[in-house]
Amino acid sequence: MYDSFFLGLHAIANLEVQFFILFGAVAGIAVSCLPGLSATMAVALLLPLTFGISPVSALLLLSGIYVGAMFGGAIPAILLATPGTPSAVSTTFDGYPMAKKGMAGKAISIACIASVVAGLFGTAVLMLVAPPLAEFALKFSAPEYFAVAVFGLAVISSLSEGSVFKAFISGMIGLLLAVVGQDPMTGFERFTFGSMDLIGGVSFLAVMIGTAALAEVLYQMDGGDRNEVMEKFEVNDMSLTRDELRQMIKPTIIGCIFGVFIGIMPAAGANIAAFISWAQAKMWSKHPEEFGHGSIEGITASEAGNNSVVGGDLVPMLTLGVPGDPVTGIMMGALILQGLRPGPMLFAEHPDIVWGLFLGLFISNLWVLPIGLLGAKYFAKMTSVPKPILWPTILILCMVGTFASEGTMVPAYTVVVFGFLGYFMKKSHIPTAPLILGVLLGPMTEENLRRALLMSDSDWSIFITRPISLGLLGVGLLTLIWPWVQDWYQNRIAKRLGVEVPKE
Amino acid sequence: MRKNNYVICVLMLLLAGYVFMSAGKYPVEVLTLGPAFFPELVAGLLVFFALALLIQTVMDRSESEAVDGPRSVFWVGIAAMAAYLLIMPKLGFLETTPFFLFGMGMYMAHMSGDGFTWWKKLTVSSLVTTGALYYLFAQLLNVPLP
Repeated sequence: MYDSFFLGLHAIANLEVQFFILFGAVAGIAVSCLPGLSATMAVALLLPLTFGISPVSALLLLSGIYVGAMFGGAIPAILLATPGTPSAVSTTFDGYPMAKKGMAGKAISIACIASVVAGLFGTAVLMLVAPPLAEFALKFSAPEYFAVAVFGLAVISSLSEGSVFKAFISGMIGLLLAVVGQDPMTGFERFTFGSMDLIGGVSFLAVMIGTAALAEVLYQMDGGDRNEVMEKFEVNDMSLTRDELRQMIKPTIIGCIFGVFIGIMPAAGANIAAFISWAQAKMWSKHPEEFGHGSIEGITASEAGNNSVVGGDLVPMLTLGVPGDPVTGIMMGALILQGLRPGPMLFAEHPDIVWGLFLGLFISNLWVLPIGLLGAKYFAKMTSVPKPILWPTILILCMVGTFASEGTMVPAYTVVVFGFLGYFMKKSHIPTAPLILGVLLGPMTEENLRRALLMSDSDWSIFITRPISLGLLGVGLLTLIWPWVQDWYQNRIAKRLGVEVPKE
Repeated sequence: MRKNNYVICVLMLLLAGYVFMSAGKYPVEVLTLGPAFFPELVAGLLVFFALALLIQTVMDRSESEAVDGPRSVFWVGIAAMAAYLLIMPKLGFLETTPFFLFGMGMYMAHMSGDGFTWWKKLTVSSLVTTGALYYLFAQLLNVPLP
């Protein structure tokens, strides 16, 4: 472990990596302040910037954006009552009332400090949990990997926006897209329509940018200004008193623990972590009546909850190759584009990259503190970037970014096709995230299913007679039913506290 | 939404049918289960989920909101992107991008009722954005743009 630690330290000890860490944190905060842009979109849009750089820089750029966006979403949540990212919904509960009381600056300081502390905690947990889990996963062979893939696909049930069947339909389309191109075992060409461009498969970068970013922009452009316009507050005095800092301790601890735990479970994301942390902090608070009316504890718990998720979220993606949410899905895509496969072998073969990421994440989180505190006034201005300037720029970025991936026009055409498709999926309440998951997990699912059945002479019982495989399938089943348990729990505490459960 | 769900079911069943038909012609290989095995498995699951959605929609008696079609801004956006992708490789990135940004921006400003008060801002911003993107991709990332 010490060797890996020093390899990681060596990997990040250069100016290029440090530049991208800083750039990621600034870009993450900035993009999440732009109206309508989520962390997923930020990571998808800036993914093309990672092609020419080293894997460590690429991963740290993207995770820096993720970390930055988790805090950055709080700025419009506090000033405008419009969460910059879905994970900042619970931050609006207390952030906006604080701004109304003339404490917008204080609210941003609190959000920033809680985010940083929780982010550091999440990273520490990631560093402790991931390596032993990866070592355990080294024992896996084809049946276990197939079970891991099933477990990853079971996450689809938590990505539904209404009908769970629609989410699975979206996932199946993703799996079908993943089979386009050469068969991994026989080399036979499937669904290529005789086109040379499809032999290598559909550009999954274009699929990701098309469905996660372009479709979203088209959807928002089409929706017009449906959001009610709230009064916008200015960033004022940001200093905190000792008593205010003391009030932050308990909710920070609550947010850290719930956030990282929810992050590790692949079926739940940052918005849920933030809400459950907020609700738990209210239950444990001596002044629960202040929650929802500008409570320091409330805003602290919400921001600590959504930031400690980042470290937890990376655990299943890095150790098993199973992304728990769209952001880590896109980060996994970035790794694959770099020629690396997330999973236990990544820890064994590239400890420098894995440990470089761990250590770099600490630095990303630390950067958020000065950038957030000193730059809040400037980032606040970005919340009012006019749409006639913003949207066309993003359309261009989607097309040029995918063009840059291969230097040919085909991915750029593909991105428009998937933007078009993704738009209609969103209109019909078919979530696009399962499609991305399907495309990413398709090859792993197919290859390991076929290899396992080869091992057993087509006897399907191989998956339930091997203990680890059976255990993983059991976890998959739990993941499948988890959303219903979660809904039940969220509704129960929301009812008890008299608030509405935030929607995705 | 009800009508919409029926359309989704039909489209998915057609897609699954197409996969079965195409994969049926693939060579059969006993040892590796053949290239058709996985696509057919997924198509089978797609049929299952499409039928489940169909049953859910039929059983659901509640009034659901109708899905309204895309507004003109969506079609204009798609058409503008298609035109951009056709023209850009021929004329070049620097020559085409400012026009796309300006035109699309003016259209959006016009749609939101601001009319032509935007033209100065958009002229400056489209030139600056093009320059910034060119510098980012062509200079920093060494991606040769057309």
